[in-house]
Amino acid sequence: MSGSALQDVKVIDLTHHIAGPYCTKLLADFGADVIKVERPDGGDSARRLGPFPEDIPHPEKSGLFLYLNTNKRGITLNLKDAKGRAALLDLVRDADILVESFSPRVMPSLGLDYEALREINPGLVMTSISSFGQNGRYRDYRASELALYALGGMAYVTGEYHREPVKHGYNQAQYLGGMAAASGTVAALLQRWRNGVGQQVDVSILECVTSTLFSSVLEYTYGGMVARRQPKEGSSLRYPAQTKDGYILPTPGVMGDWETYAEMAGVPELHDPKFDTPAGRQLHSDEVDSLLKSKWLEQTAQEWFHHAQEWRFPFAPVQTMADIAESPQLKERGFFVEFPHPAVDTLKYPGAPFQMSESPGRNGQQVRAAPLLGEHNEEVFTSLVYSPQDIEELFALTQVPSPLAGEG
Amino acid sequence: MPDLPFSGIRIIEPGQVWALPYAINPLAAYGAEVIKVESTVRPDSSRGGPQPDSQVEGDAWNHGGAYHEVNRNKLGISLNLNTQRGKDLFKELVSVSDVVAQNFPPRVMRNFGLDYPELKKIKKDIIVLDSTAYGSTGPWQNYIGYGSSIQAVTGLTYLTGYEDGGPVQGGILYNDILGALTATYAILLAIAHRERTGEGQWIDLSQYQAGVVQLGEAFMDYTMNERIPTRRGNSHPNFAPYGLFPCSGDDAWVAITITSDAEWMNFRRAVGEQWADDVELESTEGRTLHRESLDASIRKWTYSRDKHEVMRQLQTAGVACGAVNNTREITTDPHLGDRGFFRISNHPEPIGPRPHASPLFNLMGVQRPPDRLAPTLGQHNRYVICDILGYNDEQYRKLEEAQVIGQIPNNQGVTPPPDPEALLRMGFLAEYDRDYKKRLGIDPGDMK
Repeated sequence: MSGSALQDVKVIDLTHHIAGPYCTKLLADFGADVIKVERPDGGDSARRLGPFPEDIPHPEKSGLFLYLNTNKRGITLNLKDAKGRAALLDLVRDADILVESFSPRVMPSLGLDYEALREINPGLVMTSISSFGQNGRYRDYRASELALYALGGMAYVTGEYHREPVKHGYNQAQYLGGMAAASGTVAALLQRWRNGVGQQVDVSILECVTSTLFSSVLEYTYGGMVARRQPKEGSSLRYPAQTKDGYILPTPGVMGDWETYAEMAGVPELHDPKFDTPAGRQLHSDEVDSLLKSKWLEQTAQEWFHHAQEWRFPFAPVQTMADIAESPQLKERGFFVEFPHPAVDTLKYPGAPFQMSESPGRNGQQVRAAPLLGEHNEEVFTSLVYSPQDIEELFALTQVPSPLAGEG
Repeated sequence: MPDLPFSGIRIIEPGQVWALPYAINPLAAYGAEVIKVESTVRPDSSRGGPQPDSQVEGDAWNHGGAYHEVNRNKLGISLNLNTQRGKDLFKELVSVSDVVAQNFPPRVMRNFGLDYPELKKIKKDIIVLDSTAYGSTGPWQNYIGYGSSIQAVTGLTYLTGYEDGGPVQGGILYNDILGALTATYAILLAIAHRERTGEGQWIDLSQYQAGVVQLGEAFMDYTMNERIPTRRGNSHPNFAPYGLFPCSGDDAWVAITITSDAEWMNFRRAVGEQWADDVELESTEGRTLHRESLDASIRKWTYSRDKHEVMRQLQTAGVACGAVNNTREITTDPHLGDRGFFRISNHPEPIGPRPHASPLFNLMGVQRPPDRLAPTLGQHNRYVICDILGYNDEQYRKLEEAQVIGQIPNNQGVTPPPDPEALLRMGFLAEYDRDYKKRLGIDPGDMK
């Protein structure tokens, strides 16, 4: 085992909010040395978004920020100031990768577009994550999670037939953008390891959302069919059903056969030729629904889950975060990580989406908690051989308050 | 050899359905040599749909849209892994490859004797990705799950839905795509690790975990406050207005989301209505406090307006806003058109020209080559077995005779797709657009 996949890869991280920080978290968790650059006046906007312990906002206690910024070092720089920009260029000179998630006009307006950066570092990979991408007529439009779900087409097909569309919970679009950007970054890094040439990587979160529609898009481009939210009639097997405790998704899957399904569920009345085909079940959906509805109430979601899986049906319990925190599968796989942080003490966090046998990354014992605002200013700038006087000037410029000021 | 990021990397993909092939698609687009392994006994089940114009004709197993979406730029061979010779050929291929990516349940490749420990004996630095529903270890390792099951188990279903209703299943394929994007990243990491150290490795990807990591802040709420987060429709805990508003026309909506006081002032200027002048609404606190009456006023304003017109007007004023698009509007969207996101591939009849989506990361320094069509079943048997593995004609013929390889699936049945008119009548479609080819610019008459 030789450490982490991205060991010795240096990343300058100018991102904020969710998509960009998630991209750099994925790089950092798998070994990259990520220096997160925040604005001195308050830092990353995610610091102001919850959840917070006891719902009391505090810039060092945002659960969102703490989760998205593991394994990074943090510094503060004012990029609107010439000295701040000069310091950034010193960092870029020595970096492999720069990731940014500003609106596309911001970096050029600071004189930090890719052409300028490659002049000081021709091998630099610059990943730009934005809502709409680096070109096209919506390039400078504003966006939000909901607006992206709307424009990207996921909203229109999600929710109840007669109600307004509804988006997926939390911030899926942002995370998808971060994941795609992490892939694009490593792809460009591999290219650069071969030919020494860097490049800019352009990721549009809108395109990520649109892609999750997959076959619905193809139903239009191959057949002119425009999908919408589905009527509930005749489709109860595709929806969560109430059990004795919680909900179960009682899906028969694509290969399951109906007779076995009826036997597994313990409802002999479903052994009826009129229910044998999907069309028949659709036609008599009221009967199917009422027969199964009371049946599901006899056991808990977890009991149905294990029972159906023994019969090779892909049932799944509709789990809450409490269920997930206690999941025997996740616990046995060592998914969760626990580590201390000066402001919130030791907490349990979700770990990595996959296990790598030879490059486990920093998801195990060696996790570094998210940085306090400006926590690594001195360390990072000293390593750039800045004189104490330079650093003092830069600090005066950035005016970092003690991160835990006001703490009792 | 063109200078593409993955040139010279060979990937074996015994993947099924389309989720894993989706993960490998960007690697193929950017230069990897991907060999898709199917068998005539069990072709990729995504070959079926959607069929061009909902018509089943001829070798329909080579016409499915989903199959073409994810398998462009790949080579295809058919190999019956139930035969010893099929297994041997697979191992020979592994010995000259870099990556094996597969998504059968853990026991399948183990039973074939083709799991990571076995493959590593053949090629020491091989990278193997096993993508499974729950992971290859742990008490649920043999449990099965599709995208919809994974959505439920990861917490996403519980967190999706209306404030006054039960959990809602979002797009049923969502977690398949998410698992695929995650698999792409995992493979790239392993390739980077190998470039650096020369070591291969085993990647154990759990789609369950891949879903949970995208709900980090919900998990943190539980871990910090022992509170179980729940559904909140389209609303945002910190901001107002933040929601969907009805527009003119049937089932037409627009998202309006205001997340700063400056943006509110932009909105106020754009609508020019008296109710918006209320000073209490100038702060986030005031707007969230009066959320309901504010939403009602905005609904009245949007109700008689066109959704795209509202978007243009508000975006021009500096307000985050987006029309709720359907799939017709997405595939003809002018912005995605400017970016060339959907690129037309010219398939032979009966498919004809069709738009397909581009990789989600655009490497701006790389001229992405034109797409090659997805392989027909077993199309590259001869190239792979004779040219790559060095078999002669006689040996190749014997493999065909023994039905280790072939080009016709045992089960040729592609289920006839439902009639679009009937789907429309039953309410499953928003519309059936008979002019879709004209709109997409793929009508044969318009392409001259």
